[in-house]
Amino acid sequence: MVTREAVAAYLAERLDAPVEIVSFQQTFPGMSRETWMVSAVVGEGAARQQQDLAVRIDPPAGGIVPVPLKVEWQVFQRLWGSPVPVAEPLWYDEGIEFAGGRPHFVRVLVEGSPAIPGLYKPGPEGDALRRATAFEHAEKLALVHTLDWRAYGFDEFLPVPESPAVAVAHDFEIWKQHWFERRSEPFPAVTEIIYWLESIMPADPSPRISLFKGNNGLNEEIFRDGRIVAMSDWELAGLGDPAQDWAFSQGMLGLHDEEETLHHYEQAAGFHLSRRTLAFYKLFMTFKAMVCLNSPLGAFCEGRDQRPVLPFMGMGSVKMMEHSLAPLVGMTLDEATEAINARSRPTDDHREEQGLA
Amino acid sequence: MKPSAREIIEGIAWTLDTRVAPHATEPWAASSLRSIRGLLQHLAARVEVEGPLLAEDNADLRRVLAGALDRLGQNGAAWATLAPDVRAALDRAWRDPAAYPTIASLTEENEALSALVERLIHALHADGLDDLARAATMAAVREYLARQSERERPLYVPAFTGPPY
Repeated sequence: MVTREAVAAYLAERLDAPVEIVSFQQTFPGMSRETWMVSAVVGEGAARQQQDLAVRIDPPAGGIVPVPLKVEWQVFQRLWGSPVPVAEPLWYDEGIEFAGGRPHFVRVLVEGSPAIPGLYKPGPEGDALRRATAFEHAEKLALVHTLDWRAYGFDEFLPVPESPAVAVAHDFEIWKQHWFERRSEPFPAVTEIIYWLESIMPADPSPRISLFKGNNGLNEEIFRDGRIVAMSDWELAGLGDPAQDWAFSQGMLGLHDEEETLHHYEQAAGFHLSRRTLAFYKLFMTFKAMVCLNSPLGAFCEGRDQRPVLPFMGMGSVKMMEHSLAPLVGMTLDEATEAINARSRPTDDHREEQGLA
Repeated sequence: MKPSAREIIEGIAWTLDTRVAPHATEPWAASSLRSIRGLLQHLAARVEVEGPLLAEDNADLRRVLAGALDRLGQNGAAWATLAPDVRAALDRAWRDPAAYPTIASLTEENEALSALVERLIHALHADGLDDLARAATMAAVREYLARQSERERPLYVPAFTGPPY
């Protein structure tokens, strides 16, 4: 773990000025990578000014996601100055004395918060806020998905699908490869799940090859006065079908009527999103999560990263996900979607408890 | 009379819940305790059933692999490559029959046999196998996977049903 003193010394060296740390806090949660929010007074005399920075650092044994931190840095670099709101990236480095040589980057901290006060308040006021939040997110995702990624150089460091027709298959191959290269032990049930997922992959062509954000939505973006002022956490960004971002939007589609939210997004984006591809990605995302969570288990077993959350997620959560998907093997996409929806529907007992019966 | 490993682990969990957690208000400390709580629940179950569970799973894996050898013959390139490895694994003496089977040796056998079943699944999805033999073997594999899931369930439920962090 980095210390306040180490960060102060490092910033002073990089900014070539005296640095006094005013506040220093690691964001929570943030299991994949360490993000430190630093408020500092930089300079001396009349030149003294406050700078709020975010320092993002790989954990000692590397990030949980199977993508190097440098890729996320490159995403920030290219998005800065584009229509997509992101924090200003300052510098990236690795292999130096700071943080034991771990890869890290520093960006400006944008004023705002991932929390939206009143979002779950019952009644019309809460309903209006939930609708406005979902629509705001839809508009920002549309900006991401319609970005001219070639013009911004994303094809220089992200794999590009051959065509929109194979975008989903391209993404699936990448994650299948990650799984078989990184899994901690043989998982026959997951192997069978992978074949099943491939067999139900919709043939619907993607509307276009888009930049997608990966992890997005609630608690992932910085809001201020009801607007997203910075989209954060791009570690799972890639080029492919835009539907996946809605499948991984952390409950954003549950805030308001799903179809109305998607319709608002489609109007902003100017294209239609395949509901079958979206349904497929809701299943595929569970597999992606398994890949991410299981990957760092080796580091725990070798003592390179001893956080207890690693075996919890890498062994326990992955098994829970396996047990969740395995009973669906053999079903069609529609049947699997219905089965998943039925699991999340309140039972009669729950309805009675909640006074809904 | 001495406390069992399970009783000791449950005592540790109780102490963390009642004596430590109320004072661990810093988010990262509280988060670590939530992860530790799930892991202790897992250990309390695992310490008692891991050996028998691995032995039972190994026997089940052997039946699946032996059934594949009987049904699939020499068809299909992927299976033709795999079959000798399956035979070798089934013929191998994984431990001295007179010695107590350690968890380490049962785990080694389990991972090796599971890896072969994984390769078997790949072979069943490849070309060149007789359709009836493929379907029967696939059904046997899926039945095994369902049994395995049910068998290992006490290791993961309820330990990992709460928040991971």
